Amino acid sequence: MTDPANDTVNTTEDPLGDSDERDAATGVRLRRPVPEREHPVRAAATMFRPAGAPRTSRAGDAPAHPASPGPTKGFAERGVDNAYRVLDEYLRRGREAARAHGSRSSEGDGMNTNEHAHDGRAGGATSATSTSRVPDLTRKIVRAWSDMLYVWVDLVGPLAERVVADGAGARPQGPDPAWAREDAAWREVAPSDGAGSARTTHAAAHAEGGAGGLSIEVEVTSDKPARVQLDLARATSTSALSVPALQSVDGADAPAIAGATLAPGEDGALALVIAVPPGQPAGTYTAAVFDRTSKRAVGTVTLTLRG
Amino acid sequence: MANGLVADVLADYGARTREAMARYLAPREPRRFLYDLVADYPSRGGRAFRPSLCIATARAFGAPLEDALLTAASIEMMHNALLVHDDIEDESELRRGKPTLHEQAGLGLALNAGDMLALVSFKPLVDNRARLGPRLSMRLVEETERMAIESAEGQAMELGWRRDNTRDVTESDYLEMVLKKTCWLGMIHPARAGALIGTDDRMELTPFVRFGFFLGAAFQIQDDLLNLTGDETAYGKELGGDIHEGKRTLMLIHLLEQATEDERERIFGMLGEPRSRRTAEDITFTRERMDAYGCIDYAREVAHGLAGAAMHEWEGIFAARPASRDRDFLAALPTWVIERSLRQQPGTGQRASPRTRKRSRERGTQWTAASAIRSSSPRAAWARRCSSRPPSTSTGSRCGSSRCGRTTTDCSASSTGT
Repeated sequence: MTDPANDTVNTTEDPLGDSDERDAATGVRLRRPVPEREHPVRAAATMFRPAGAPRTSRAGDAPAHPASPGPTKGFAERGVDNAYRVLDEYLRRGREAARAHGSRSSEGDGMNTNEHAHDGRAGGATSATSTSRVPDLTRKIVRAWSDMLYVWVDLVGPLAERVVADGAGARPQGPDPAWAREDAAWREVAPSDGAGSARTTHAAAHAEGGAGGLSIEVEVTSDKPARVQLDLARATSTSALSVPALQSVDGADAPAIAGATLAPGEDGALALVIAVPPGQPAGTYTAAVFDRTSKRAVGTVTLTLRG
Repeated sequence: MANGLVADVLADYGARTREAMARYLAPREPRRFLYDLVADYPSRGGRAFRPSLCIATARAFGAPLEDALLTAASIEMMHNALLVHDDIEDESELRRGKPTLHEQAGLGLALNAGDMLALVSFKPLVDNRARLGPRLSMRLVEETERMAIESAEGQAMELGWRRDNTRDVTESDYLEMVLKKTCWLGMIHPARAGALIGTDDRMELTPFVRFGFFLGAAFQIQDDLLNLTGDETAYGKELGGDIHEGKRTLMLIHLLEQATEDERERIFGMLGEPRSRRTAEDITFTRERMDAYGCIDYAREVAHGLAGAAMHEWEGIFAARPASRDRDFLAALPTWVIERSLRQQPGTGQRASPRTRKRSRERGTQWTAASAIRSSSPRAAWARRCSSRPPSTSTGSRCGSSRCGRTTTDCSASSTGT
């Protein structure tokens, strides 16, 4: 157990080290050797052994302490230090660029922002590895804001033809499978934040069909991802439409979503506006679209809120 | 062992990526003037390092391979598109062991094919939508846009230095240029894209900038070293070509910092000449001065240090991830970028065509200069030297010589210390 030369203890037989560590012969209390180092070696520059440096893994080799001078050790360290400076300066400029574009760069790096563009995205949920300086709630708000900018519009192609046809008072000639799928313009809306900030999400689609083209704008305020489908019958006049409260079709006790409007906006586009109250349960809600002039249902609005 | 793993993963993911790319590069008319040229570089092979990095990162964070496949194909096609343009801008003659596209097809058609390939590379990103959804797909498009901007900025830096024969390029300038030109496309973007896919955009991405930068900088410096000291057959490009092209490498910058005024003037005089007027003597002189001032040693040590920094950054990102082949592959990359010099990669290993070699001889520059460097330089032994010890592997290490495939313990050259 004892190394008489340096009064150290071989602890391999006592891995827990909780025995009475006294030399049986002398009664002298044995002490563990002072470790050569108390922290992991994290010096990046010396993590890889410099070329020509002695290999430490071979028996009989002298231990290579990270601080021990080598013939070219300074090159590596200097190079790595310089590289870190260059990188830090680059990241700093990224942050400044992000701020200059009005982004919230509270992540402190600017690297999750596309500072050449516009998005202000500053990261998602907590990384398993990064050390965030930002409260989680702030992170979620930032993420939600950025998500709001990712509105995808997918306008079903035949809508344009349909609108043109409506404007001309005639249905397109011949069989048209697309036509049979109904005139659907769906908008998928990314979630907005639930922290009380403005939660308006816009999706605008323009169905340009020539002289009789119709533009439709969809504006949804929601704290959940939302998908909107608007079905309108042919030859619908857009001047006097109304939408009653959207009712849940899931059989749940979800409250209705009132206040939806469908009317031409200032720019002539038909604007569908739906304000979903905070905390509205996920599910599918629908309402008929009425023409106030003819007092007939001319279509439906279907809203799907994802959980 | 690490290199075996890297080779296996590269072969595996490279094959999958090439399959995915084939969908977008299928032959069609006009073949002769466009689509055959578009598919030329991708068909030459290559390591598929970039798409493999993307796939491995995505999988290390739990994504199925198929989620990352289209993005990986996009990355590889964009890489090849930029290679076409780089070769034109650099006036390079060899790419993956064959004449460059503009040497084969002419400048105009090559430029057009490069443009087309860059455009085609966005199609898989659009197709991502069906599998990844619109929001994540859009994020990947944005990331690609960001990468393209950074790469163009880096390329502009380097081309500008060469055009103006800039004299005050520092090591920091060089590292920034490498960060933009090499690291973003080669390492940062693939890793970030993989992380986006693997985490569904729920991870802070800055650590990947750090990891990719150090990995890419080590890679680039090692690549520049290979251009001076490697084996032309394995390297697939002309040796000494960087000097001939007037590229500002770490070795050249270090040389210009160390050289006497007379030496500096001669080198800047050579760099200020058009490429066609740079002589074999100039190139050999520059190469020998690099040896005399220890520029090769210096760059090699810096590359080792940067690879170590990459390993350090890897720990911050991946160490907490569950053990997997992909995680091990990523861990092995810093070692691999230093050791890769000695591997003959798929798709390389072919010498330049007789036509190219003949023309180079007629010019009396490139191949002659490279041969002179190998044969008459007082430090020509670099090409046979075994000093490039692998950084972190203690067993099975490969000899650093491009002419030696044995382990360091078996190689007689290593024991001589030459």
